[in-house]
Amino acid sequence: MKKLCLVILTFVFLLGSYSFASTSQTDNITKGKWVNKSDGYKLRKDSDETVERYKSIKFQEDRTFVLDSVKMKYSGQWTLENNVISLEFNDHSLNTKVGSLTPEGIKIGKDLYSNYSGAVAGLMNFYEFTGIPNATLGHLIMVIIGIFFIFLAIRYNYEPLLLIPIGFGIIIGNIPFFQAEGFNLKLGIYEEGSVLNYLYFGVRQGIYPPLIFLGIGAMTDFSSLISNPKLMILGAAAQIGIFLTFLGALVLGFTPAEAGAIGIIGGADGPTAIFLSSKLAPHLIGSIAIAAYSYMALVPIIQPPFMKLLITKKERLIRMKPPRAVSKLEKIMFPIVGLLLTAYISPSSLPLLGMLFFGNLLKESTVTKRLADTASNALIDIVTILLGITVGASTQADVFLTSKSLMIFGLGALSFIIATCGGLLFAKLMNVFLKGDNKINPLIGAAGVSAVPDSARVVQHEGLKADPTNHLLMHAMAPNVSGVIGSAVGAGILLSFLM
Amino acid sequence: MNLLLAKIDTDFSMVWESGLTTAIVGWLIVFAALVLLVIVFSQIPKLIYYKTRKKLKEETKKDVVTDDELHVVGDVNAAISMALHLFFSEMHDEESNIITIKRVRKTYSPWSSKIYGLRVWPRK
Repeated sequence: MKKLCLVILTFVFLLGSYSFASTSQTDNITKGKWVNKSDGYKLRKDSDETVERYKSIKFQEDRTFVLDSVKMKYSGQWTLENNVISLEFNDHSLNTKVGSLTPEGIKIGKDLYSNYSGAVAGLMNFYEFTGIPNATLGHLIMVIIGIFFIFLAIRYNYEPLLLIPIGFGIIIGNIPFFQAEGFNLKLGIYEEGSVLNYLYFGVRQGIYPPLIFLGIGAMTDFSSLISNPKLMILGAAAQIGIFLTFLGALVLGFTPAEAGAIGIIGGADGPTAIFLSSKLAPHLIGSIAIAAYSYMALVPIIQPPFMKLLITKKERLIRMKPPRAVSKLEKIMFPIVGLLLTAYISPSSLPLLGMLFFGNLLKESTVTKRLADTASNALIDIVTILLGITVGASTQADVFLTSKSLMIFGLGALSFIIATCGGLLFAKLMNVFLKGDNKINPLIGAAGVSAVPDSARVVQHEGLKADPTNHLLMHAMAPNVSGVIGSAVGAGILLSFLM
Repeated sequence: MNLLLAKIDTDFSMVWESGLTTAIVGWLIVFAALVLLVIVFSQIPKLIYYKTRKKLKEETKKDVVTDDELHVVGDVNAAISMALHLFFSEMHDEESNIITIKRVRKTYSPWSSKIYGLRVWPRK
C-alpha cells in the first residue's frame, strides 16, 4: 500500500512538475505580442524603393496563432517542443514555418520577433501609421516648394488662382502616410479608390483641359485678332518653342512620346500641356503641369530680359494703328470658321479647339448669355480648383523628385525662352516687309507664347516703359489668343505624330 | 549633375530622322493652319462690306473706297459710346428737389452686428 501511494505521489509530482514547466513556457509565448520590424517592403508595385515595416505574431492559448503582416492576416496552429516552434498555416499556399525560442526572442528565418505587451504593440502599430515614421526628406522638400508657391501667389500676386490650389495640393500630396505594395488605405492620389484618385481621373483622362478651354473661349474677345489678322502669324512663330524643346528632350534621352509631352510646355498653356501629357506620357503629368504653370506664373520675370536683348529702343517706340471696330457678324463667324479650318488640319486637337470656339460662340452669339456666364465663371472656377489641387497633389515626393523632373524643369525654362525669342524675332522679320503705319511693334511678338493674358500684360508693361503713352495691350492680345489656337493645333499634331 | 548626365542615353539617329521631321513638319502645319486663318479673315471683311463699298462708290463717285473710309476705328467708336453714355446718364425724371434726412436710431447689439457675421471676408 505504502509502495502504491509512493508511486502515485511520484507520478502526481512528476505530472505536476511537467505541467508546471509546460505552463510557464506556454505563458512565455502567449503573453503579449511578438513584433518584428524588417526592411524589404516595396512602396508600390512600380517602385524600387523599399521600407521597413512591422510584422506581429500573437500566440493564443488554444494553440492557434495570428500573424499580422503588411499585406494580410495569416492564421494557423502552433506547437512548441524543445524550444522549437512549428507554425502550421491554415492557408495552404504557405508552407509550415519553424522557428526557435531564443533568449533574445523568437527567431523565424532571419526575422527576430521581440515580445511586447498588447498595449505597446498597439502603440507601435499606431506610430507606424502616423506621418512621422513615413516622412522622408523628399516630402519635406515638396512641402517647402508648396509653401513657396503659396508665398509667391499671396506676396507677389503671381497667378494666385493657380498657384494657391497647386501649392496647397503639393502640401496635401506630400503628407506622408503608410504605404506598401498590395496595401491600399485609399488615401493617396495614386491609390485606387481614394477620393483624390477619383478627382485625378479628370486630369489622367484629359477631361479638365477641354472644360477649361470652354471657359477661356467664353472669356476671350477675338476682335483685336479679327481686326488685324496678320498678327495671328506671331502666335504660330512662337510655337517654335514646342518643337525645338521636343528635339532637346529627344537629345536628353526621353522617348518620342515623352519628348512631345515635354515640348508642349513651350506652348505656355497649362490645360494643353496636361491634355497632351495625359495622352502621351501620363507618368510625367505632375512634372509637366507644375513646370508649365510655374513658368506661366514667372512670365513677368522670364520675358523682359529677352525683350530688352532683341528689340532696339527705336523698335519699342513704334506706334501701331488702332484696331478697327469689328462687326458682330465677323465675331460670330470667327469661332465657326476658325474651328472648321483648324480642326480639319489637326483633328487631334478637336477636344481643345472645339471647346474653345464653342465657348466663344456662346459669348459672341449674345443669345446664350446664361451659358456663357456659367462657362466663364462657375464652371471654369470649379474645374480650376479641381485641376489645381489634383495636379499639386500628384507631386508625391517619391514620384516627383526624380532626375527626369529636374530635366523637365530645365527644358521647360528653355522652351519658354525659345518661344519668346521666336515670337520677337518673327515680329522683327515681319516689319521688314511691312510699310508705313502698318509696321508692328516687335514687342508684341513675345505675346505669341500664349500664357493668356500674362504675356500680353508684360508687353503692355514693357511698351509703357519705353513710351508711357503707347498702349500695346489690345495689339498684344491678338498674338496672345492666336498662341492659344497655335499651341492647341501643335498639341494635336504631336498627338497624331507620336501616339 | 554627374548622376543626371550618366542617365542620359541619346539615340542621335532617331533624333535626326524622326525627331527632326516631326519638329519641322509639325511647326509648318501650325504655321499653315494660322496662315489659312489669316487669309480667310483678311478676305471676310471684303465680302461682308462688299455692298457697303459699292454703295459708297456710287455715293462718293470714287473709283476706290479705302478701308479707312469703310471702317470706324475703335477709338472713334469708344468716343461715340462715351458721348452717348454721358448723354443718357444725364437724363433725369422731374424731381421735387426737396431733400429730407430722417434720423434712424438703432440700439447696437453684437447679435445683429454685421461686423461679426460668418459671411464676412477677411480684409487684404
